[in-house]
Parts: sequence; structure tokens; C-alpha cells
Amino acid sequence: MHSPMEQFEIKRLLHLNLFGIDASFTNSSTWMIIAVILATAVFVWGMRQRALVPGKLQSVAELGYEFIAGMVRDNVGDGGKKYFPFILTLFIFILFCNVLGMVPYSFTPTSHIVVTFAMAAFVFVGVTLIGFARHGVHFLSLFVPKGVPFALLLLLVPIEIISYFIRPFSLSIRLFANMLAGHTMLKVFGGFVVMLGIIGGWAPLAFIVVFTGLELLIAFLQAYVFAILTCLYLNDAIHLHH
Amino acid sequence: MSNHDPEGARRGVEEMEAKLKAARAANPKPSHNEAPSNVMSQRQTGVAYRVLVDMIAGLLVGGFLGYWLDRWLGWAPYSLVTGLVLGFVAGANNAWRAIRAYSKDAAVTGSGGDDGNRRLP
Repeated sequence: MHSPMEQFEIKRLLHLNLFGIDASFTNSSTWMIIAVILATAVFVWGMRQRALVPGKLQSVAELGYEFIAGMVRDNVGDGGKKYFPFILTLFIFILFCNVLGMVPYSFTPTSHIVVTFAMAAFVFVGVTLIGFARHGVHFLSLFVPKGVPFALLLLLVPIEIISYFIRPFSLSIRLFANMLAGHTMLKVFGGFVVMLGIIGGWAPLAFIVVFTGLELLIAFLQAYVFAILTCLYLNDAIHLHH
Repeated sequence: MSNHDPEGARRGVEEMEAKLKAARAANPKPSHNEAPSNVMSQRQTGVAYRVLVDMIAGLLVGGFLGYWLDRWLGWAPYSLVTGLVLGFVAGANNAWRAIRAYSKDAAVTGSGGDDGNRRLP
């Protein structure tokens, strides 16, 4: 019986060593590239006609665009338009990685914390830099709650600072843990089907069918949560309030 | 239908609008509160995931920070304990902020009517 964690194993497909750093091309990289190619294909191929009445694929592309455009408009407001391409790219990439992970025999890059933490750290550093570039030292007022006596500030400022530094961790752990847990669960119940055989295996099989639907919802929801939290952090950095 | 024929495209849109109007008249909308409550429940799931992971991540980050300070400065076990407490409070702070933002929105959109338990002070 295969272990339920076997699906997350990184396999080197192309050995590559750059200045002593293992930069091999792995199955994870393969599926990330597939996600990028497919996402590009949906947008480029879908929009090739630029029809007034969109076809099926164009509807999908427009829906994704409008969804994120509305999200940025509602959550960041003015000044957020500049960052819309980044948030759209982030959302579409995570969504495609998550959904492609549901294809049998595929690999889910977002089930690895290196991948999700790299994205979260990029967002965190980027947002912090944007905040400093926009407000200079005044950006630090984000850590000082208004209308609080000085004695309490000694306690509250460290808490606010830690709250701020928790962001990249909670952002990356949420995405990675959800993908990891869901896929492990599917594999475990798949094992139950085999163990219980033709007589009792139907109950876990029915569960898998329902759970696959739930996993598809979670794949979308986690991409949505990642994108909307990026918007909220950006909003904090641009407008300096929460 | 292609973009080389704007007249044809416009006619197509008009035809489709007429068809849509006819279809809408034939099937009146289902009860009106169904759609917003569905949208809201999706947001609720999002907020629930945020709250869950915010609190765990707070503990992890605080605990790691404290452990690292212990190793570095030899303050064992005080900085670990302080780090865990601070991390927990910071995580709860983040979670509270998420819930407050959500409940403010829920109160504004008014989905759920006078459902009092959704509103927080």
C-alpha cells in the first residue's frame, strides 16, 4: 500500500547545480509551468476574438478578470489599480496550481510550504516596501494604535509588530495546510476503498466523490483568500489604517 | 460572430437581449434572499479559515521567536513563555480584526436582516 504522503514527494527530473545550490528541475516545477502555460492559454486564446458577445472561453477569462478587478476596487480603492496585474497573476496562478492538483497523477505545487511561503514572503516584503515608499517613516504609525495611553503602548506596540510579522506565516500556512490536508484525506479514503473491497468499499467511495467536490471549492476558496488578503495588506500599506 | 462586423455584432446583442428578456419573463427569479446569503456564506468560510490559521500561526511564530531567543541568549525558559503568550495575543488580535471587519460589512449589507448575533460591539 502506498503511503498517503507519497504524492507530495519531490522528484528531480533534470539535475541542475548552480554554484553549489541544488536548482534541479522537479515535478513541482513542471506542474507550475503547466499551470502558467494553461493560464496564459485561457487568457490569450480565450480573448483572441475580442467578441462583443463572449464565447465560452472568453466568458471564463472575462469572469476571472472582472472578479479580481472588483476585489481590488472594493478592498484597496484608489491607488490599487497599479497593483491589479500582480494580484490577478497571483490569483490565477494559485487557482490553476490548486485545480490542476485535483487531476489524477498530477502534483500540487501549492501543497509545499516552500512554494506558498515564497509567494507570501514576496507579498509581505513588497507590501512593506510600498508602505515605506509611500509614507516614509510615517508608515511605522501602523503599529501605534490611536487613542491609547502611553503605558499601554509599551504592551500594544510589540503585539502589533508581532501581528504584522505573523502575516506571511498565516498566509502561507493556510494555503499549504489546506492543500496538504485535503489531498492526504482523499488518499487515505482511497486506501479505505481498496481495503474494504467490493463489499464495504462503497461508503468511502461515496465519501470521496463528495469530498472531491469540496476540494474543488477549497481550491478556489484558498486562491480567493490569498488574493483578498493581499488586497487587504496592500490597503493597510496604502491608506495606513485598519 | 467576429469583430470585423460591428453592425452584425450589435444586431446579435439586440437579439440576445430580447431573448434574455423573454427567458427572464418566463422564469421569474427565485426568492430574493437566496443569492446574497450564499455569497455571504462563502465569505464566512473565508473568514473562518483566516481566524483558524491566524491563531495557530501566532502561536507558531511567537513560540519559534522565543525558542530562538532562548537558544541564542540562554534565557530558557522565560523568552519561550513570553513569546508564546505574545504570539497568542497577536494571533488573537489578527483574528479579532478579521471578525470585526467581517461583522461591520455584514451589518452594512444587512444580509441576515435583524439577525442580532452577527453584530459585534
